[in-house]
Amino acid sequence: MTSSIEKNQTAPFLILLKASGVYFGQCIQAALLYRSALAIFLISEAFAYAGFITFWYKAAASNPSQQIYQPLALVLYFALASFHHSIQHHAASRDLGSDIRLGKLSYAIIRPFPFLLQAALRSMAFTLTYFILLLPLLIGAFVFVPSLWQSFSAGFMPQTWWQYSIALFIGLGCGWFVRMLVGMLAFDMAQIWGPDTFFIALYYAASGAVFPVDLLPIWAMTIVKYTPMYYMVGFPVLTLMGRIPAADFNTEASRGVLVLAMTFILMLLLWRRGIKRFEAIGI
Amino acid sequence: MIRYYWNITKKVAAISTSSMLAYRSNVLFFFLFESLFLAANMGGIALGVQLAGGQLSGWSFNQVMFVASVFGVGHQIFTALCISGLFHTGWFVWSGRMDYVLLKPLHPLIAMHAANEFIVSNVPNLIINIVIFGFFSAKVAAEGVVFGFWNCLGLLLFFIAGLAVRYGVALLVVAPAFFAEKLAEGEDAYWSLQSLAKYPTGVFPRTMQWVFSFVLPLASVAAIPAEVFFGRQSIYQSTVHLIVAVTFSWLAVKFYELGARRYQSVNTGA
Repeated sequence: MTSSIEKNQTAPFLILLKASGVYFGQCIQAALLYRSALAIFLISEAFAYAGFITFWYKAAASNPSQQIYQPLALVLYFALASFHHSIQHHAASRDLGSDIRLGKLSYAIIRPFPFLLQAALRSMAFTLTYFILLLPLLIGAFVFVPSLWQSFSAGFMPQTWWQYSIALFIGLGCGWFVRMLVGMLAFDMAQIWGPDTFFIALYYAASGAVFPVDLLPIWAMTIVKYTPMYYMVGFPVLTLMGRIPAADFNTEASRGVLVLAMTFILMLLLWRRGIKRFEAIGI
Repeated sequence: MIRYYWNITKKVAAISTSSMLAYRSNVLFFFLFESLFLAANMGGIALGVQLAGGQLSGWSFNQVMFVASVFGVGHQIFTALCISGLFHTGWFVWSGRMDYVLLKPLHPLIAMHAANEFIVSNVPNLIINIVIFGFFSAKVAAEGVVFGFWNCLGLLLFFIAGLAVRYGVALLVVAPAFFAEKLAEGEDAYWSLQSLAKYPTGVFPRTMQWVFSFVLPLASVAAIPAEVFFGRQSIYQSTVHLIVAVTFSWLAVKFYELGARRYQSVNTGA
């Protein structure tokens, strides 16, 4: 008898596509239901970003002689960074970790399409709902903050669109792969909240979500650019703001692709090693 | 047969030991997380004040960092003593475990803290934060700030009031779980709101200053204790802030009690 896992390898492409579509739809529905509690979350997020933005605006405005960041540029940075930070805010590591430890992997693995695709689609659905729900806030920032749009368009070049598309692709990829990699530690650990919170701390320190990443000293920036965290927020935001010179973009994007590939390979190795040892015992 | 059971026993012992060791390593990770998170927060604020030219809204670099360190000490005390009991509220309501919490002959909040753990893994970070606080205290002393008895007493009193405000904010975001189980994820909202408390009040526009002083008194968490310490608050102003902080915390407890009274143990757990 052909085992389900063998069928898993031989599922026709159309069935795979259809099953993926159905699963993705279900994930969107579930994510939207959970986001019904979003009012509290959004209000508190808006407060937190308002705090960030006013602090940094005040900092830049207090020192007119500094040429690093004009006050409005800082507002723009945090409007964009908060948006990118929010779409990186999915629970792929936590969900994957609990799937592995609590046994969901045991039955999900016999479905006729790859388990990892389920985990990826679930976090993509989560990100997409955030994107849809937060987009009005971002538009609101551009509409209601005077001159913000002018500040944005001043640094916008024709090539920014494709550069930003690449930067966003790298950023989202890095975010998903790192979080799934952390989730896969559950093959060896009873709980993964330790590594998960450690990753979040690294993310805050190196991504540019809580301070403009290009304000870091050069030596720190050099290190940060070899981590996936920089590409999750800082890189797409700086690209969109035109703060990465065109001559440097290709180098940074190539480094980003390298980091993305390394993260993916590490994740894949961890998955292959873990799935071989997986005994569906759970803890 | 004996050999079979011996092999099984060895395997189970090995798995259990490695699992427990791996589980304990979470504590180490959490220590690293808190340390790095502290560094990111303090570093971010330091970068901001440097960008401002070393002074922000009439506060020197060391004074701003003093506020951030007061915030850090309060954060660690709150995390170590309170978060487990508070942030498990949604989970307890959702899963029905609140039943036995409410059956105890204690106030529901005390019963929740008794039913959960204290996060002892945060104690090393608390010590680190206290050292940082000491460091910036010495720095502001070198700038000429006088460490008088009343200033220190005021700092201590308002620091405790600030802890009460933190507790109140946490209650406000977790108590909605009693009213609708989908509102169980209040923890994120708490972390977002409390992050506003690490800045000196003067960095905010006047409307926000008023809101953070009298509506959602986040200024009382770190900025007001520091202002009292630096002698920037009159007796009248500080008394008003103290009354607001105590009233806010009391109302938050009443809100939680209102929710606990509505609890009917009918949540789906699904």
